[in-house]
Amino acid sequence: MRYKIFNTIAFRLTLWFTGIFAICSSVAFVSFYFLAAQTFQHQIDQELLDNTSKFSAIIHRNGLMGARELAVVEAQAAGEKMIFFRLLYPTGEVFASSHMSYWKDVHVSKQALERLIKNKNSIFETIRIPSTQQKARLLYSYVAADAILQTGIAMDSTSRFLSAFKKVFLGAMGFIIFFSAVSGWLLIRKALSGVQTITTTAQNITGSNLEARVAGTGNKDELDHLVITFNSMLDRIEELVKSIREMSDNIAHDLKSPIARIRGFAELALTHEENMEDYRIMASNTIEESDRLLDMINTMLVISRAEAGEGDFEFKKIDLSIMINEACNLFAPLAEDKNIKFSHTIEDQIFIFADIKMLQRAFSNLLDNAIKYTSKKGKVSVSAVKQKDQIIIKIFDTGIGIKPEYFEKIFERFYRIESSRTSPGTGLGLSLARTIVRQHQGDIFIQTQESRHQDKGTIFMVILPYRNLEVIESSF
Amino acid sequence: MKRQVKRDARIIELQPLEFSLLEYLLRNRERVVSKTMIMEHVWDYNFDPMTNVVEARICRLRDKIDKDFEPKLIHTVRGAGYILKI
Repeated sequence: MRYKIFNTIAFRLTLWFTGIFAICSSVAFVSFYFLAAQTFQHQIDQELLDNTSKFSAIIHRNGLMGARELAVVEAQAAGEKMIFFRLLYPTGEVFASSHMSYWKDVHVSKQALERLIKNKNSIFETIRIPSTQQKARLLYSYVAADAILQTGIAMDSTSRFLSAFKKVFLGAMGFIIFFSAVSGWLLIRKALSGVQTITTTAQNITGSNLEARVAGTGNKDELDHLVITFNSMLDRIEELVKSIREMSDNIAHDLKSPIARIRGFAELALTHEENMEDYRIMASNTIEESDRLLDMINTMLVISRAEAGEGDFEFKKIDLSIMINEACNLFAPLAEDKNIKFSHTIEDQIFIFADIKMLQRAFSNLLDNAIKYTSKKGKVSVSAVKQKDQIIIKIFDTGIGIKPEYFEKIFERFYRIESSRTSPGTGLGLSLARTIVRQHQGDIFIQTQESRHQDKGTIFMVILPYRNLEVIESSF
Repeated sequence: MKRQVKRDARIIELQPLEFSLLEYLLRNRERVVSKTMIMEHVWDYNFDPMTNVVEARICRLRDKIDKDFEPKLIHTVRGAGYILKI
């Protein structure tokens, strides 16, 4: 998939990156520029003040005539374009000056004079010479009680420096922006290249090909973390898809056989001329097979409804002891027929809130399994004890046993261990039992019997939460 | 309440579960009752009809009330269930 470059994170980050660089360097430039301008002005001001004190000293020693000479000499020494001196009376009338051809446009500011006369403090002014557009710094100051010096210095070297600095800076700025854009783009692309790998892998994953994994960089950064998470998510999905596929294979298989048999009966009925009795047998076989199918489908519905939280469970106060005892009595003949020693020790009066029909189904499935998978002359025993906050029901058998790797698998719908495929059953019993027990906030655990050499044996342990109903009821 | 089963003047000892099974069959005599019906009405149970619980119980009941007698009362209807005929 190609996406527009403007939408990419790399583009946006580069933009930010460049923007921040540009702002930072501008701030640096502007502060430097003003600092430099201020320093230059300060220097010029100092020079102006120094000149003023020179004039004061001369006038003090030699009178106003000395000042007249000094103005000419000083201006010639520094350059007549660089500096000028103008000596005035407080009225504003000029009585002496340096060579003024370059400065003739610069007049005496009346406002400045008035302010000087009023405050007696020296007055600085920055002006632009009208004819040349050059900047100049002026100073008005008293050099004697009745003499005022107006002096000015051209600032053209300063402005030349500053404008050169501006040009250099603009060039540098362009370079900085270009450099930061390019380096930002490359850096971010490099940092995000892992994301592209993940996207490519994700694109290659289809329902039939879930084996692809992203190679981790192993440097434990955020992207590596993302890769690990992504891969483990893929593992889970692969597992789920596999189990769904297995389940649908099993469903297909389990549905196929009875339907094939039903079809077989019907075909026989058509192709053979039989008597009424044979038809009756065929019809009854068909009913048996259909019942099996219907029961399977019903059980599936109960499980999936309960798992989806839509089960029609009716919770009532029941005596679990009675229910288990009844179930054991019901199954006793089955054990007896197989010569299995069947015993049960059930604690009295275990009252719980439960759906009795559902628990009956769960327990009859567990009991049926225990008897079914225990060989002749084996042993099946049931015990139920009430503890502080839980009820533990153990169904122990000396049957064929279950390998620990199947502990979780056998609770899956339609899962049947190869060795048990030959015995009757839908592969739904345990799944239903666990679903029911879990709806009662309990769970089923399996333990394999150890230390018994002649038989492997299994314990199915049903744990249900126990709350003292007497206490609960009396508290209402 | 005392319950007693007699056939040909012989008293037959029945377990409570067997007694209620016989009672149900008698109440529905000449009618076919399915395994599921027996589970539901006799023992108030509903579950997987694939277990042999009903067969085993019927088998015991037959041993007691049919084995040593003629004619047989309990008949199997394949695929459908059982019927008690008198």
